Amino acid sequence: MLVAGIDLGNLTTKVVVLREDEIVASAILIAAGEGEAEALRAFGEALRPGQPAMQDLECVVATGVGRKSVPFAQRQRASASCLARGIHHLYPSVRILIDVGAETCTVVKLNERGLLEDSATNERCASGTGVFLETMAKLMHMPLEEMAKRSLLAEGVAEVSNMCAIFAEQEVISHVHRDPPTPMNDIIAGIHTSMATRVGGLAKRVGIREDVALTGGVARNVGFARTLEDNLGVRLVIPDQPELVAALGAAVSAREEAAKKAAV
Amino acid sequence: MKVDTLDTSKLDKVVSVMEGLAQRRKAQSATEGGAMYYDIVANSFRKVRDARDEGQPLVAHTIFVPTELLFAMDIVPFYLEGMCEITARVNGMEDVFSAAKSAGFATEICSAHRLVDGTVLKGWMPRPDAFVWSNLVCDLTLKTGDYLVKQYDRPGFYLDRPYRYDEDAVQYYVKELEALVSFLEEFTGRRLDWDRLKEVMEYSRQATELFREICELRKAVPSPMRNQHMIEMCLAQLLISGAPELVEFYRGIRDEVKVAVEGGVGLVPEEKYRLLTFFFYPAHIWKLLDAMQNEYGAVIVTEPHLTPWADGEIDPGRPLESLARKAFALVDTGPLQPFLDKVLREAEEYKAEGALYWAHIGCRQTCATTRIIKDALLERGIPTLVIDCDLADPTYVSGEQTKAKLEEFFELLDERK
Amino acid sequence: MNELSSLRAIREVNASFPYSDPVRAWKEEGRKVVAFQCAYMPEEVIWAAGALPMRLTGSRGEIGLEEANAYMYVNTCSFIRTSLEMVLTGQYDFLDGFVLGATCDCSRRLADLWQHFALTPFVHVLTVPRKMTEWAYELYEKEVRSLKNRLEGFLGVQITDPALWEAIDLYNRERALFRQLHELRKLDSPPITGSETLEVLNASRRMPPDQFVPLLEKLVEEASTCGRAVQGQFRILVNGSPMNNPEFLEAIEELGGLVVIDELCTGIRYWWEGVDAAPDPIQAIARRYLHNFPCPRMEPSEDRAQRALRIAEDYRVDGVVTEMVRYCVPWTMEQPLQRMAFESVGIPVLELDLEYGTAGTGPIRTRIQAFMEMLETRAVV
Repeated sequence: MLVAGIDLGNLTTKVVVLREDEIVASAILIAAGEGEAEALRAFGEALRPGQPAMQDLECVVATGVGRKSVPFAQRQRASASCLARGIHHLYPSVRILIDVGAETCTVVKLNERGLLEDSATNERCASGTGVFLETMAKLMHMPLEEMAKRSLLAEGVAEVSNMCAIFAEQEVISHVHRDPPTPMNDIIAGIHTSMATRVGGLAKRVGIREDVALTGGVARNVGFARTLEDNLGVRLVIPDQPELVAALGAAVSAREEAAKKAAV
Repeated sequence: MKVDTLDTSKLDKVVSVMEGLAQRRKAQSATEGGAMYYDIVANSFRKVRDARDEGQPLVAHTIFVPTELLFAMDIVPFYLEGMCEITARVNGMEDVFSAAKSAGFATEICSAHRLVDGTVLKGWMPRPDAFVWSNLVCDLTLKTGDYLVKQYDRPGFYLDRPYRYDEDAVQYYVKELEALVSFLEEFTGRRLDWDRLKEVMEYSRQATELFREICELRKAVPSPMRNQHMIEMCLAQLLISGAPELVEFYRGIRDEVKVAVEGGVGLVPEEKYRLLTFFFYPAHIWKLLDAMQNEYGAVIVTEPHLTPWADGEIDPGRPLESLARKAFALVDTGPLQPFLDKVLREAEEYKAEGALYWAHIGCRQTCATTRIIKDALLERGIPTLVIDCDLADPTYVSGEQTKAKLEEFFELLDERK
Repeated sequence: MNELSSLRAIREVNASFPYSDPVRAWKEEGRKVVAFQCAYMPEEVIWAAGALPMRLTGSRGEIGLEEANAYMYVNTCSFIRTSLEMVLTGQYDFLDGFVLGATCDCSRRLADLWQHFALTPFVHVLTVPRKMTEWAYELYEKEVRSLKNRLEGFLGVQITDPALWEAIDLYNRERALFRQLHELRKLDSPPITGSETLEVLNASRRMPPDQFVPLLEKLVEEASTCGRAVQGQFRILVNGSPMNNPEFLEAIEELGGLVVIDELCTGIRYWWEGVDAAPDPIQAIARRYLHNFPCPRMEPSEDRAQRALRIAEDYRVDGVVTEMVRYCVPWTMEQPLQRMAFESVGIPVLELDLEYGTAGTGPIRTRIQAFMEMLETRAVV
């Protein structure tokens, strides 16, 4: 049985194609278009020559911010339940998932069957999301990938506000211009700590129970991930392709849909 | 600062709007139990507007002050929180919020109370002859009373309900009610006719019995009562406890619900989600809930915060004690544990599958309990959606956002079936 | 300007808060500590039972509140959330009990949480009437007696009348000393600053009172005789939500204000009234606590407003700084009337919305400065 899930986020579109339990194709695209066009482009990217074709797909489920604009999807599901399914498929021991994307931070609680029990989203504020780190990287005049690692080398942690992204920016600027300037690595450690406090706070409101997974693009940021582990006091499970978890979950959901139809 | 200019045209507008709604409701269905609701509201506003002209004493009061005592003395009650909110909604909330802000009230203060203070400051409400306020249900109720007594420069009486329900506290509260009676007698120059009070309390008793009956009937599957009725029942109770019209209104609803239960008829053809709700949902959400009911089959089976009087016992022969015990039934002003027990019991009795917690940003005392209640319900397999909202201010969170959250929640519930 | 040397010992107690040295020593003797949250909690009863009453407060500075936020809500005031945060992060692990007067919404929800999770072996909540009628005194007396009974059960002791009277005497002595200290603050150039006084007030509820009283005696003695004269341009009354960070008062005093009196539950309400003689010590205690300088939860609010105006007069106050913790409803709703009351007698008011623990830096400091400058302009005119 061949199925697919598509996750249309704020910044990127992700596709996962599943045959039985195996991921046979996937793609992550920086979103350039809208809705259906974007979705098709993403599928085009995933299903290259030699791969199965679109018409072989028995079912497609769409999720993410743009989920309602994919007419060829048989179903659309909310992100939270797809994240739950996706992580359960990869790591059945996970009970809490923290997804840090470009513009949102979502915490999902799931039970031993992979069913969603609760979720919380950081709604009004950029300070727990990828955008925050992007902005900070610009302030620090370095690529995000480089900034990601440097907090691991820090000797100290600079004070950076976790209350508000705007305040945090101001504080980082003043650290950079201080005389003598605060060491770069320490500032970055402060940035990561600020964000980890915010993200950790959201997770604590849902309640921490192991195992805890970190997903979303920001999960690749090893400096942030370690800082979040310190904040929560647990080791985090981080999938190899952390951006694809919701799309994977959508694909798992598509498989359930297809199975239901087959049974009827 | 004293409130001098009084613009009764604002009340006229409310009366005409309510009359219009009453007519529309009755036209939709003459037998509908809830049709009386708008009549009750329109009448209450009319009486408040005309009290001065008709030579009736007008007493402004905060929520849950026993109107039975006022009716027994032919005093016109002016229920502040409800009436100010409706008046503001009909005539322009923005103006009212601005007035409250200019007067120095922080935006963190519950919007319902800022509406009371603001509506008064704008001179949209008539000048009462006296005030009676209490600490039911929260710190703000108390402070609003303090403020208004000063603004209107009128005599006032504060009714103090103790924190915890025990016999000493009941006796204390009875003394408070006795002192309230003396206060009312003094400023009106009338004596309380205790026989009349007995009659009024008999109406209150009947209303409580009917309320209890309705709550029992609502346990049926499928859910037999329209979501909106409970809010209407509560508001009516806050306006006219002790009046025969309340009994009539409840009877109408009871009859309607009874027929539905006996016929095994539910609100919706396919009942999909049985939900508990916590606290009051904002007025601008009511439409959404009706839509949810029709589109998603989501029915509200009970509201633990709104149904405490179902357990009440009123003895017309012991009026003050009965009123005291009635006040202690209110869960918001006391410890959490009895309320939590009620919630868990009702979750089972009403076969709830999910819960919605309306987290009104101005309400410190209900929001602080969300985590404990949520965890307790989840232990019993009932997920809770906590929805940020503002009771009176529709701009705080959009209907779209709320709808999206509700949809996601229904998906979550689907999976658990 | 020379220091008050008696402050040194007091500062040491505060420096090791919350598990301050005297508290640690107390616990090491195998004795119990019972925290309380509100000035309407009768401390004498706990002390007479042989336990140490300790006020649950924050320390200096605003702290992260993630643990507390997980169990309460953003609209719970930060005073309560700070207290909860400190408890959840283990800083108050040494507590054996917690007693609360159910005086305001946020604190009683803390009590609910505390009871639900049994954060300490002993939890008790007192109903506190909001009036001072005869039957209110009766009800409160019953509540105090009930607390006594429960403490007896928990601690396995008998709280005798003589023990209660002894406790009353000790606390009365402390109050009398505080009153003396505050008489000195009526002077044009008092011997002690507002921030120093707050440090003393803080310490008073962070150590056994029988050890604190001798320290206070020394301080009052020194202050009365040392000839120290603090200068300040404007005499300031500070009121508002619970406040324990002396740095906030320091900020005012660095900018030209001289904080001569407060109207805080972490200040004046500790010492304003003493316990009077009565046939029964519980009755005497109940009477004092209910009748004490009221907080905005009490009725009629006129009573408190009048008392506030009187102390403003007695201390010849030039201006009032009102610090209100966000979501502190009793204060924020009282404030429009209170402000008018002060302004009607010619005393300007600076209103500050802040979070509990703030030190008075940044924008807050700027506003204080602007207020001082405004007072200056008025003085010239």
